[in-house]
Amino acid sequence: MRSALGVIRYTTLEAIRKGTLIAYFIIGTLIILVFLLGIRLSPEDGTSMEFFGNKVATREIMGLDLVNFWLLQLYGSASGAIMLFGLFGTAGMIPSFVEKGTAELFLSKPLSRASLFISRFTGAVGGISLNIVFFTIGMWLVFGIKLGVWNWGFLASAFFTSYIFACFFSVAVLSGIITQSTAVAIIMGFAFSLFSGILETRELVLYKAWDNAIFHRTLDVLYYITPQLDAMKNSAGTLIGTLEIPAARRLANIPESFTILPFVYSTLSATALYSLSIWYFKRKDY
Amino acid sequence: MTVVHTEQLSKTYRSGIVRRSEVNALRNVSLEVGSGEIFGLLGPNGAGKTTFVKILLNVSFPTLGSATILNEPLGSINIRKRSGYLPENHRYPNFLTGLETLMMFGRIHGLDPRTLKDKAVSLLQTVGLKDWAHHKIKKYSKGMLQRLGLAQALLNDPEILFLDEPTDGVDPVGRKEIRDLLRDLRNQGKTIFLNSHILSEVELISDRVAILNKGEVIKVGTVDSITRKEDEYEFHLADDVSSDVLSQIKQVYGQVEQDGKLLRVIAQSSEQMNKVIDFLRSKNILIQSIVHRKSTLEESFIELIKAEQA
Repeated sequence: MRSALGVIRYTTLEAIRKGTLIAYFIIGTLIILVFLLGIRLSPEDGTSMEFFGNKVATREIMGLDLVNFWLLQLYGSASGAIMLFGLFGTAGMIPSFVEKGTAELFLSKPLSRASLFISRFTGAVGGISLNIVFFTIGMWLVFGIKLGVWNWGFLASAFFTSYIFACFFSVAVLSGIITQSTAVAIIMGFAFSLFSGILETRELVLYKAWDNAIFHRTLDVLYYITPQLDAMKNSAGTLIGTLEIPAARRLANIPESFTILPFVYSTLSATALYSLSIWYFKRKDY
Repeated sequence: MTVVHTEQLSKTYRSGIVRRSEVNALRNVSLEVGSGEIFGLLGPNGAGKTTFVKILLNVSFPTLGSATILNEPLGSINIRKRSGYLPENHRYPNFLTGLETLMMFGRIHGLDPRTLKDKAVSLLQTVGLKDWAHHKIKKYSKGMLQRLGLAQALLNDPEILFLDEPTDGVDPVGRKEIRDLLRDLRNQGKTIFLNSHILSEVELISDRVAILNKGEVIKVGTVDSITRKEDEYEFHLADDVSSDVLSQIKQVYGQVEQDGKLLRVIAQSSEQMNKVIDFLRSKNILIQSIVHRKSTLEESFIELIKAEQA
């Protein structure tokens, strides 16, 4: 256990010293400060929201309370950005760990390869999760203190975003450990996020592109055997608020309320991808 | 007590999907290393030395064969708990200082954090890096990194130390310091397994050596037994031998060389060597000592490798 904690500590320190975590922390802090200084309830009506003195909208948008609408938008943008920056910050952690000269140092330590892998993964995802938690709590406090809106769903999104990132990371990890290349891990991560987004709207777009039952079933199988990034994101978003525009919801495949199924499917597929990575790592000569 | 025991250890690297190719890095390597000895594994580049150590430490896996280290089967975590390893061409994280590196690897080794700092500082002093403890290791020279690597390998007070080219990039003074340190460690009862192609280094400190070529062990023994020329004797005489006497010896015994008071004789047997003694004594030549002629380890190594290739 002490050895595993040592690897987690090493990984986190690596992310800090290489500037990744610090850069993300600074970006998160700046955004929090902008909102802290910029938003307030309008002194005129006491219900509208102002952003640096400008009324940004009326009290209600698309059936959703204005502030919660903002939080929902913030969650949507931030979770997308986190996948992007998180992938950049962590994709190299597995390939760099197994490169010649480094692998020998770690593999010769009294730790099983599975524990070594899991510790490295935990350190990488843990570092990104720390940033997510910091940013989410910061924004939650700003909206709570300045506008009196304490959206617990937004606070819970810190956990869900971290979880979605952990599932997403499984693709980069598998690519990284097999090819030992950071570039390939990043490319595969991005390619998968695009692919996942396309699969999410398969019924509305892809089904119509080719009306073939085998093609449709193939898409369905691919959808269910890979982490469902957008489905998880949309489901967690419902905890913050739900837009009362069914057509828009349908288009973006947003459920009416929180559903656990995308998390179950994604957990299974991410577990399979991580298990495959561990299996490969355990058998590989370095 | 045997510390390292390998039996028919083999490793074949396979590559290619369409055009399969195979490289036999190790072929049936059977070795025994005893407790408290410095054992040198020698071989030309690509002989399989590093592969052998990597297999012992679970970095690579054997294709065939078995091994025990400290009476533990290959792959056991206990082996790694009780051993230290300095890999060849190691890459320490350059964002850490020397002290931080030792602290970090000590933690990963599962050592008690309360005593780790004192241990790390003491080891940095032992390897001559105390003044560099708080400098980032990206500023370290190759030799300094080797010393840091050695300190890292000693963190857990290992019973056996595997060192792959430990003096690579180290200056002559540093090499001597490392040799002295290794002798100290042997005197403390530790076993040292040394991989090197710097034969003069190995000759100076190893108790026994094995020569590996193309993945096969071609010779194992003490440095003395490998460098000794069984059929060549050196007679150290009190006086120079006259050319007349020398030509008489040459007529009878064939291959004889003179180098001042040193007479080098190739004798087919000890009986023939005794005849040379009788002859010299009959000429009233005083013999001060007779020893087997010795070559350097490098000469013996090259001879063995050439013989193997032939």
